[in-house]
Amino acid sequence: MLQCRDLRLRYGDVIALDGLSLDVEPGRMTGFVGPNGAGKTSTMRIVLGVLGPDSGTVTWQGRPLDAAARRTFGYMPEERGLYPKMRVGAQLVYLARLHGLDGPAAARAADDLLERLGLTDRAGDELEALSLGNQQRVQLAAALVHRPDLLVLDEPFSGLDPIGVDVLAGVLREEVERGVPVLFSSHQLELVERLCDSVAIVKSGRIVAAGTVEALRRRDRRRLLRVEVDAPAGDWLAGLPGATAIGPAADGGLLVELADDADPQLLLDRARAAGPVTHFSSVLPTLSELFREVVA
Amino acid sequence: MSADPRWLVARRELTERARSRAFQVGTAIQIVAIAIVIVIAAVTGGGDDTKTVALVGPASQPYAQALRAASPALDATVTTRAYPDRAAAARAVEDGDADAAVVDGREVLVEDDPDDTLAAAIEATRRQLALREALERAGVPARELRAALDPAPLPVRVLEPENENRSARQGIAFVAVLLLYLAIFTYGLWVAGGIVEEKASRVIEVVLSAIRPRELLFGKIVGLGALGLAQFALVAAVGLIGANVVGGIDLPHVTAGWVAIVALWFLLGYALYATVYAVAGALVSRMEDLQSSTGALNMIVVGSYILSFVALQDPDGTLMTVVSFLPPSAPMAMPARWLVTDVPLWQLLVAVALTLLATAATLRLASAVYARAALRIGPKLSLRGALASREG
Repeated sequence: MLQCRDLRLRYGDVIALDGLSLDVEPGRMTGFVGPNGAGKTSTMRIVLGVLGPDSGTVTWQGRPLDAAARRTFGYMPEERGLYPKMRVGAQLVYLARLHGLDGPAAARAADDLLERLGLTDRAGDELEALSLGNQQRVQLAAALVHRPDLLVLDEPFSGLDPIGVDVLAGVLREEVERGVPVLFSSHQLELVERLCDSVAIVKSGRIVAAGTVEALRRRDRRRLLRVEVDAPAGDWLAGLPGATAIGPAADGGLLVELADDADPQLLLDRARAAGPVTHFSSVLPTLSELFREVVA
Repeated sequence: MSADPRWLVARRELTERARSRAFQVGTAIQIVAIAIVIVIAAVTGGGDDTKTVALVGPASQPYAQALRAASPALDATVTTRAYPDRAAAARAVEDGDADAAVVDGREVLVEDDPDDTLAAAIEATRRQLALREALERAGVPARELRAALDPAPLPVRVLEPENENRSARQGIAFVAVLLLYLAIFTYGLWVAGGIVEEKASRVIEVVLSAIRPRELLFGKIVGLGALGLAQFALVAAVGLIGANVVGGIDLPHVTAGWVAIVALWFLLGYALYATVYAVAGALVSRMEDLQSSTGALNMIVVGSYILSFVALQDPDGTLMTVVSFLPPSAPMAMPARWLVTDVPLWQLLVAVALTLLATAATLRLASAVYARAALRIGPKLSLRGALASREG
């Protein structure tokens, strides 16, 4: 497990990180979301050791993070790039060896990964000769080739077509199932909601919400219900204590907000009195809605 | 067991650059240029030359023996050949079958150069023949005649044996200074370019998530230096072997000691300048900005070269002694001085020590700047700004 505690970082007058704490647990995919400039990239760079914090600690498996442990991490920086003129296979072997694999193991790992990504026949080509999509696959391979103990990916889905998104999501899922903690940042909140077990929302250098996606959605103070009634009159709700009509729901029916002490059963009784009820459900906010709420 | 990352980086730098078209074409051009120089030198100059003199008419025949005797003075083997008439002799000279012609003891024909040493030798021979004739007419006895015209040679005592081939050694020193200058310049730019390339392609962040900036910098300098030394040695070997095979050039004896001293200063000069070129490379993110960031440094390299070149005109002078100690010029000036004059060993050692000290200082600077600037992508940084910023 990776733990960041109270990370602080400032550039002159700009505060990049303001006491950020974050856990990344094994076997879980953790989404890291927040507005531009909130501190996602800085946090990731500190975890990878390419940037030093002003204060705060990063521990890995309970011990302070050192260079040897970092060598086992896999990283895809926001600014993509590999050696354009180096052959794909040689490039992956080189990176695997920089991460501590010996020659034969690095060669095997590179071959396996290229096969998994469907790039075996491009191993001898220079990177710049590959299509953009294939270059993105090689970039992913560069983060995975040494079978990392932790994966940190900065905006890995940006610029991918839907098929690329599926391939990447599949690969990340495999890594998570292998027990690897995966942390990735993204602005594509629907994607994060679909893929991630946990989410951390960062704003102005601090985590403002963190936990499983489900818990975050339930954490919402407001209780919203969606009710579909075949009622001749639209104002069937009028006069019920603690219930307020918000307006028509996006997928049909009426969105109703209930006060904390109001009983949903009374709402259902009132609806059935108005006409046949075809839908009655509790509505959780989407991650996007939650995100807008907490970073606003 | 995993390998030392510095070694991995060095190996990558060496193999990838050796694979590059720019390197292969550059090496081929250098070898072709050396070959052309050798061939031109062999065709135009000549060590064991043969000079042929065409003789026309009986009056020219006495020249034959005297001219052959003049061979050592002309640094060539002189042969003579009889031709039936002036036209045939003139044709032979024009066609290059003969280098000069003597017609009836009255006229000398040469192809294009009236100051030809061969023509001068013919004139001298004429004077000698005239003198012998006059003395014989005057009745001088044969023995005295021989003594007068062919005296025993004076013994020659060499007072400063070194000066004998000093100009040749100076020539070699000029070549050595030029080669060291070109090597420092070329391989220094390799280092700066290699550093910018990693920033421009953004691969730097991937690499630095695995190893430290110091390891990357060190491996890069060592790998490119090894390839540079190999290229330098290859071109030099082609030059030396080619010159010997063709045999056209009067190479003074190049000793192993000279080769060693040039190689030593190649390494010292490369190490010193590569670290500074690394700083220049670390400050920019795009190849286009490299020119401006290496500008001042290039001036120092060119200035040191010119200074060494000028100072070498007077190898024992104060200027030469001074520039052979100063770290920026020592890698060119000290080996040049060593090739021409007797340099006390302590002076060599002091110059080596000064250059090593300067390299240690520039390496520290380069490590500090590189660690801070490697991930700063954007417009050119100032040295001061880079050092004042956060590490990593």
